[in-house]
Amino acid sequence: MGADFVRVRFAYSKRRGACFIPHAELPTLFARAMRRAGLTLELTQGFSPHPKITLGPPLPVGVVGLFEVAEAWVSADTLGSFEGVGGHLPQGFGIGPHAPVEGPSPALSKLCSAGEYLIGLAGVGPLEAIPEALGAWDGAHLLRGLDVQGGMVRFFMLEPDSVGPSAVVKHLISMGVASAWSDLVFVRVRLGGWDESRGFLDLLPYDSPWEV
Amino acid sequence: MEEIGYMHFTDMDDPRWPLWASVKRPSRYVGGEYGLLPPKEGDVVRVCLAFPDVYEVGMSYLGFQIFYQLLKENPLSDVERAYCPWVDMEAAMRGQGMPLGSLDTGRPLKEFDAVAFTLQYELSYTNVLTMLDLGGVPLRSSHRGDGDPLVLAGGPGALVAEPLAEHVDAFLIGDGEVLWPPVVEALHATRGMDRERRLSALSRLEGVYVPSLWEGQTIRRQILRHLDRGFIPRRMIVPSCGIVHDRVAVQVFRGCTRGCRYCQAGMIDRPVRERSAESVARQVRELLDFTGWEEVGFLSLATCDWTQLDRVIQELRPLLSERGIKLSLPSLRMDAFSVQLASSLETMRKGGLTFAPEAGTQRLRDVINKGVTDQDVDTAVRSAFEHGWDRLKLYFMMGLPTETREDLEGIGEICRRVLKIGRSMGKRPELAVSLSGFVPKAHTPFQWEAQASMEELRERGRLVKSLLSRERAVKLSYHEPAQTFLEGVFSRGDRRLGPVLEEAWHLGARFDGWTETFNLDNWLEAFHRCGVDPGAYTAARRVDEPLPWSHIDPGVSIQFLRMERERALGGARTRDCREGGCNLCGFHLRSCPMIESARGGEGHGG
Repeated sequence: MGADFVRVRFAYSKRRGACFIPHAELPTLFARAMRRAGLTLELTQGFSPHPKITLGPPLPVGVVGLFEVAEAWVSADTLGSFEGVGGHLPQGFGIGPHAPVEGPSPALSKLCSAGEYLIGLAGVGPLEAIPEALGAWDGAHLLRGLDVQGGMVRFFMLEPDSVGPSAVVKHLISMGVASAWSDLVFVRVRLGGWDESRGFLDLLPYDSPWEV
Repeated sequence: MEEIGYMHFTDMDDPRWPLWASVKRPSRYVGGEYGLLPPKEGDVVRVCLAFPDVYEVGMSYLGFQIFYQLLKENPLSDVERAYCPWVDMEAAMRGQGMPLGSLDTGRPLKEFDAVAFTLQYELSYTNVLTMLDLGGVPLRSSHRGDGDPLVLAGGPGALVAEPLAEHVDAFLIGDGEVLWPPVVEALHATRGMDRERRLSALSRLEGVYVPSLWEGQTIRRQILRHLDRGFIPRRMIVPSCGIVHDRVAVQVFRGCTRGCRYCQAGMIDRPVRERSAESVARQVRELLDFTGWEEVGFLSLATCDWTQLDRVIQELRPLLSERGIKLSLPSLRMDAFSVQLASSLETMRKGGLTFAPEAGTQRLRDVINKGVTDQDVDTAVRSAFEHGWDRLKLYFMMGLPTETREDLEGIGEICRRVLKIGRSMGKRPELAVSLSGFVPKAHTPFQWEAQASMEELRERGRLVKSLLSRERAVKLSYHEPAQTFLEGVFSRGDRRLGPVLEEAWHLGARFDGWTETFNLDNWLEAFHRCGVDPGAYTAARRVDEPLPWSHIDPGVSIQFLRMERERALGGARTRDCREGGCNLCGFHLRSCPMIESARGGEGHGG
């Protein structure tokens, strides 16, 4: 039966305990919330059909995500219920701006070519040790806009699909800046595209962190 | 957390954050699931439902889903949940001096009025001690004071209460829907009073066994006679991460009339009480709408026996199909797997198919009263292949009473025959075979039988493996015989095992049901230190000797169990009482719905 399905891009956040729900669990988690809100989801083809939901680059557990990006294919006649999804999520998750994707568009993983991050130290050691250590990192060529702002180190990092917070943390631990994940406060502020001349490109309307 | 400029992250202020960041599978410990209800204020009895295993096992237990809703709806009570921390989290908590609290609010277990465990599996008992200790509750009843919570326990293990009689204050025997309201009332009426008075109030309730106040009376199992008149949950808590049974679960009936002699659940959960088709269909719709789950499971001891199954499948088929919902029917009975049922399931999303022949020959299946013939096996398997399944799972037991080599060879023959049938139909069948050691259970006709030793089970397992070694399409898995041994000890245990349990726990025994953490040496040392011979528990018993669980009456009579034992040893089958008339199991004296139904009375429906 040919229902019309719409590709909807949405932002979501992971805070507090929700930071420890693995990335791989999120499609199921969002699918259930969407069903609860009254949405009908398109199913994939093949032997084991499941709701068509794609995520942006993975975020390891223990990292706060303020403006992560995902897409879901929902039936046009239930699209109006998307507003209500936020009220059907487990604690710690939020839904932000969302919009249908018009026309052909590359896969989300290709569009998400950069992430904006904040790192802080949870009370141990001088903050300056972080940019110093990052300068000596093998992946330093992926970093942009590294600076210290209000008690945290802020930077953009390219290729979030292949290089993420885990690689950064591993390096910081090897440099003795931290001894474990729990010494660090790691936040991914947002995901988006990157253009060398224009800098960070938002994939959805973004004014400021819409939930802190 | 200090202010950090233009953003202030309070996420890491949670004292549990560093622990979450340091353990495996932290999603077990974060809670916050969809479907939780807010904590209540005021004069309520605070109950903590404590499941003595990890979160993903505990959240799969339907009983706690039901009791959570039931206790929330009761104006006199509030309820939270706790699960056993895995070994790494236990170590982290002890290192930080962090007590075990509920998942919902973090309230330490010692601050509840009652901590209620469910005893689903004997090898979870050390986890009970872990949770009490981490929760700040003295391990032994005799060491608890007026300010300590009462420790309650229910589930099938409560019918063999003695091994935990020194650690549990009160056992709740029977259906929770019947037991909880008077228990809550009694606890509410005695709130703030001393321990003795609280326990005394509980001991006066039907179906409650308080070991410290027991005076020799028989404790009768409490039964919800009409499922549809009892509490029915309209919501469930939905986990945020994968769990073992990740679905809407509706129990379609309780009890069983088949009379398989090894099966404790089939004996103790009588009589059969069915839900109506309307009730199940309504629950499925409501729970799917509320939860957003993508799978529904119909639970019971033998779902194919549910008289309403076909009707409900037909009724729900459009809804399930439209939403792409998978229907799971766990452990189908081979003789009841009709072509009609298979074809009606085919229109829905299918999971795997599991059958439980249990024994390799007709002779042995007659001894255990598993009413499955070789022809039933072939018919069911053929039907499964015809309708699109090519991966099947078969369950068998080793060490059954009167078992011979021929019976074990029979397992190999059944497997080869199943593969042959599949191949003859142009399939590439794959067979998973699970082989477990038989544990004689209390309150069954085999409660007097000897259990096969660890070495005997290993030898038999090796034999079956050798019979199937050439079949690449067969994957064989075994339960570890040492775990089977320990399960056997506690399944027919008495109070002398209480100190052994504690000793083993002090020696480091944890999660004994998990092969990665199970260590028999802890237990052997504990038995030795306590001067207890574990072999005495797995040995045969005289049919006239007093048993440590005789004071707990599940409803099925000892005379019936003795008679069934005799019939077993003679290879005589006992027919399903739905078909062949009353077998006088004991419920004929207690308004059995089967008998009422036969007389044209209300029967077993809701």
